[in-house]
This record gives sequence, structure tokens and C-alpha cells, in this order.
Amino acid sequence: MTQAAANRKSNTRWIVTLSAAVVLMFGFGYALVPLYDLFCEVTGIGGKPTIAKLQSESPDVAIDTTKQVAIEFTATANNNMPWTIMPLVKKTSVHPGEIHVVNYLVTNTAKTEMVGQAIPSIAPMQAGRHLVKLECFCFDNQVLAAGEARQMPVRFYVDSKLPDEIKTLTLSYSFFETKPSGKEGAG
Amino acid sequence: MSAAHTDAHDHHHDHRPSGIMRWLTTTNHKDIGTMYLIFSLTMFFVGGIMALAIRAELFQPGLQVVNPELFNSLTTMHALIMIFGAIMPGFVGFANWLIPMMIGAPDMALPRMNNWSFWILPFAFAMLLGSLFTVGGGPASGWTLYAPLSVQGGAGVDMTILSIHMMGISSVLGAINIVVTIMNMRAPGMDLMKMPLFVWTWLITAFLLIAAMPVLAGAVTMLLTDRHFGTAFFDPAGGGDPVLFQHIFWFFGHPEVYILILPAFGIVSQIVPTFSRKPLFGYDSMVFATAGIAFLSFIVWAHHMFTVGMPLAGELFFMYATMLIAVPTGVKVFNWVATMWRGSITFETPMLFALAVVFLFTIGGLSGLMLAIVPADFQYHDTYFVVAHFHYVLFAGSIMSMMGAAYYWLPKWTGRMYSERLGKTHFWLTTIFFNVTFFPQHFLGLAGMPRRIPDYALEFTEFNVISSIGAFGLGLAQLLFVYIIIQAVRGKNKKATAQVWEGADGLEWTVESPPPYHTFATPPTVK
Repeated sequence: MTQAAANRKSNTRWIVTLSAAVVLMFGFGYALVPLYDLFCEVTGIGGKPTIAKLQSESPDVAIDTTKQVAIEFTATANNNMPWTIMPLVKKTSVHPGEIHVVNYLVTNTAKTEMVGQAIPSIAPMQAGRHLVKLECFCFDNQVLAAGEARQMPVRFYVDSKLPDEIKTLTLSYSFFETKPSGKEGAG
Repeated sequence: MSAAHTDAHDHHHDHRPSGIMRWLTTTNHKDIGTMYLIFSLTMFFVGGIMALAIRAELFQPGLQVVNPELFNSLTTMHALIMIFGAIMPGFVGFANWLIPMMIGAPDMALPRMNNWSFWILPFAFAMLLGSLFTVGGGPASGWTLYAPLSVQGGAGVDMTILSIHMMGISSVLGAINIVVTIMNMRAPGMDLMKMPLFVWTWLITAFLLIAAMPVLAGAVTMLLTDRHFGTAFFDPAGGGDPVLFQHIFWFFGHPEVYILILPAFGIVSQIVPTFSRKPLFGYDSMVFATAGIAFLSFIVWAHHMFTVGMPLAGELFFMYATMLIAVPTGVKVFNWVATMWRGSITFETPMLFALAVVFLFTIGGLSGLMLAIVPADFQYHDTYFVVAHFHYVLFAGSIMSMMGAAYYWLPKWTGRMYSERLGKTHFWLTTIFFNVTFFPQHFLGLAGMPRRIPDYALEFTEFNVISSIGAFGLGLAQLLFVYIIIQAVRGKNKKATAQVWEGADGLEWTVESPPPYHTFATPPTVK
């Protein structure tokens, strides 16, 4: 084998290896998507409330009457979406373990039927995994006819493992316009 | 050795077409290097004109020169053009010219691909600049293209995304070529640990490019499918998350900033020993420091996102990891200073630029350390302090190192000396106006002036006036740079010797100036 041929062969090996690395890193960019979700789920820092696995009536923890947590409710419609959304209670106080229901009045002010998807967010984010939802309008797409207004409930409890330093938490919803397709809802 | 070259020269007879076809079809590393450098300089002026439009708007509070939408486009385009159009192709140009000559290779390993890597670029940037003329204007989300803002916007954003794909292909192909060249084309005896530092820093930069650019390509592809093909990577309504974009972007973005600075470290490591007339101090530690910086660059990305929201443990991790980068960087600065220690130093233009790079880059490094401190960053984030910081590392670090490199190797390439008097004038104008432009921006940032906003509160006026005056001085001074280069290229100046500089050491200084079209057709022997 001549020197030139040897070079060519070893060039090919490098090119193949490096091209594979490029493809791999392109895939890694996409792999970051599930990894990110997994990371948020494991650490509970996504600021998303937990969905109760069993939608049972009573939480498996006793009500802790010695502690009280203030919960504030807020909601907005994203961007120019012509919906109004308003919690009927702005603020309430609960004991850990106590099931609570809060209602939101959602109105479609547009002249056409629209589909909305609510996305929850909790502050401070460490509290996300301690707010457990049994029922929520954010579990599904919501369809409102033109001008329709509807009360939508959220049923939740705060679990007893909520760190003591968190005295107040805020549950917020943003409504996004979406297509009526089977896009999955968020917790 | 020079006899061998003359032979090689004669055998080849330079089979090259003339006129434009020579440049379109060339596979010669010197021709391609020249094209990259001219392209880089052109983009430097295009991006510079945008910077001047920005500074003209910020000369006074209120809105005078450009409307806010165009202002947003200008800040976005200025960054994309300077990063992907001026700095990266500039360094690739130096790599093309110098790596084969430094390792004793006749050309790059993959010359046809080399031609293609370059010729993608003009099309990519034509498309990027063309986005300014679409309905809805160019990209206006900042160069970071954060979702959800970048999911909105018109066709200009799509053109930007596709042009980023093309730039990515160009630089990944260039990087593969450089790795293969360095690995397979070294002259006999040129061991890895004998390679000039510029070659080393480029080898590591090439690996960074191969690892980081595809991640950016993935991120902008996700943006594109979110915009048009119904995916919801970054759209909360579909179960996505806009913060995810920032993580993916900065996973690319932080290695990217070392892609922009490591070759500059290589250039400084070539220039400082020459004009100190001493070998580089701590060669091995320089190589390991470069590799260390490259490794650390992959685990610090979230320091760009401290204010986005992260658990305390995450903020602490990214803070400490970021501060750790100061160690290998400090090793480098120490080595450059130690190289000069007791050297017989002369201050020709390249050395002046190299010294300014060491000094000003260190200022930028220190403000970087300040930004790494989480609680301080909560105050500095997205202010002009950040703008001042990255211009100290990117302009004073990357761009000024390339100016130094241009003066250092121009006599080798053209066979003629540049005008030392004009070169020094250019250096002082650049350095002084650079500081006039960007030093006041530290104060503006500490006082709370936000970046990327066309208007500002009245109390920021004085520093903005100073900064704008500096910017116009800095811009005009670069016309002198072009004049000096043209003067040297036209060959009216003093002839350069093969070694050019008394203290220069390395294979590229063993061939005549200007070098023949084909160098090292017979490999040199390295002792």
C-alpha cells in the first residue's frame, strides 16, 4: 500500500468517526428534551403540581391542623386569546392534608367556538411536588362556545411534607389557545 | 529545504483557472484561507455598521434613528454576523493558511470539502441579511433566539434558522477537515506535543465545534418544527417548555464562546514568544489548560440562566464550575507573562495587539467572574454590564487577536512588510476607542441600564454619549486597517525575509515570503 493510499484509508476512518459524532450530538440535542422532563419530574422543580395517582377522595395523610398554608390563585389568558379567566376566591388558607376546591370562571368572549388548554405553574417551585391535584380543568382541553361562560373546579390538597419555610404558595394558570386535536394536557 | 520547494513548485505548474473560476473552484488552502479572511473582514464591516446604527440610536435618550423593531433586528443581526460571520470564519481563515504550513503538510486533508465549507457561507449570510427585507423584518429575538419569542415572527425568522443550519454545516465540515489534517498530515517528527500552540488550540476548538454545533442545529430545528410543523417542544399548550430552549441553546452556547476564544489564545501564544525572543513558557500546561477549558465549557451552561429559576443546588454547582474556569485561564495568562519575563521584548504591532489581548481579555475574564456569582448576577443579568463583559472578551480577545495575527503573518503571506507606523497608529486608535466605547458600559450596567432596549432613562445619557463617540472612532479606525492591508498586498513596501521576525520560530517561517502556491510537497523533517 502506498503512503497516499494509507493516508486516504485513515482519513476515511477519521471522517466516519467524526461524522458519527456530529450525528450523535444532533441526537443528543433531542435527547435533552426527555432528559429535561425527567430531571424536572425527579427533582420536582418544574413548578408543576403533582397529579394524584389514585383519584381517591381522601389523601393518605391525616389532616395536620397544627399547620396552615396560605394559597393564592391567579390566572391569565395567553397572548391575545379572547378568554377571561378569574378565580372566584383570590386567597385561601388550608391545613396540609385537607381537600380544597376552588372554582374559576372562564368566559370565551370571541364570536366563535374555541379550544383552550390551561397550563399550571406553582411558585415557589419547590412547592410544586407538594400540591397534589385530584381534579383540574387543566387535565383536558376545554371547549367553550362563542360567548359561553363556565365554572371550572380544581380539587387539591397540600401534602404534609411541604417544607416549613413555605408559608404561602401561588397557583397560577395560563390558558393557551389550542387545536381540538388530542394534544395531551399538562399536569 | 528551499530547493525542495522550488522543485515542487515547478512540477505542479499551478494548474489553476484564471479569474473568478480560480476562486470558485480552488482547493488550495492558501486561496481558501484568503477567501475566508476577506469574507470575515467584510462581515466585520457589515456587523460594524449595524453596531454604529445601534450606537447612533443610543447617543441620546428617546427614539431618533431607527424604530424599535429595526433596533431589535439590528442587535440580533449584529451578534449573529459578528459571531458566525466575522470571528468564526476569520479563525478558520487563519487555520487554513497556517495549519498546513505549521505542521509541514502540503495542503488540508480534504481540499474539496474545504472549498465547499467556504462557499456555503456567502449564501448563508445572503439569506440571513435578506431576512431584513421580508415582511415582518429580520429576527428580533436577540441572537439567542429564545422561545417563545422566536416561535413568533415572520418569514425572516425562518430564513435566519435556515441560514444558521448552513453556517453550522460549514463550520462542522471545516472542523472535520482540521481534525483530519492535524491527525494525518503532520510532517515526520512533528509529534502532537511539538505542534505550535495555534495548531493545538485549533484542534481542541474543532472538537468543540463538532460537539456543539449539532446541538444548535437541533435547537433551531425544533424551533422550525414548532413554528410550522405542529410540534410543541417549546409551547406549553402542547406540553413543551420555553425554558427547555434556553438549556439546549446554552448547552451549545457556552462551548461556542470558547470556540470563539481558544484560537485567539493560540495566536497570542505564537506572537508573545516571537517578540520576547524566548520559547513559550509552560508549553505542556498551555495544552492541558486549553483541554481543561474545553471540558469545563460543557458543564457551565446554566450560568447564563441564573435568573430563569433553578434549585439552589443547581445555582451553586454552575457558579462553582464557572469559577473553576478561571484556573486554567489563569494558567495561560501566567504563562504569557512568564514568557515575557526577562525576554528581550520589542513592541512591533503584532506584539502590541497580543499584549492588549492579554490585558483586556483579563479584564473581561474578571467581569465574567463577577457575573458567575449568583447573587451578583441577579443584579447584572441582561444589563450593559454583560454587554461590556462579552465585548472585552470577544472584541478585545478574539477580534484584536486576529488583527495582531494579520500583522504578524501578513508579511509572510504577501512578501511585503506592512507600514509599522500606520500599524501602530491603528493599534492605538483601536485600543483607545475600544475602551472609550465599552468601559463606560460597565457603569451603565451596574446602574441598571438594560441591554437590547433602544431607549433609556435620562441619568444614563452621559455614559451613552461617551460610548457612542468611542464606537464611531473605533469603526473609523478600522478603515485604516483595510488601507494598511491593501498597501501591503499591493507590494510597494519593503520586502519581507523568509523569517520575517527576528525571534520567529516554526515551519511557516522556513519557506520564502510570499510562500509558493504549493508548500511542503516534500515533507520537511522536524527535529
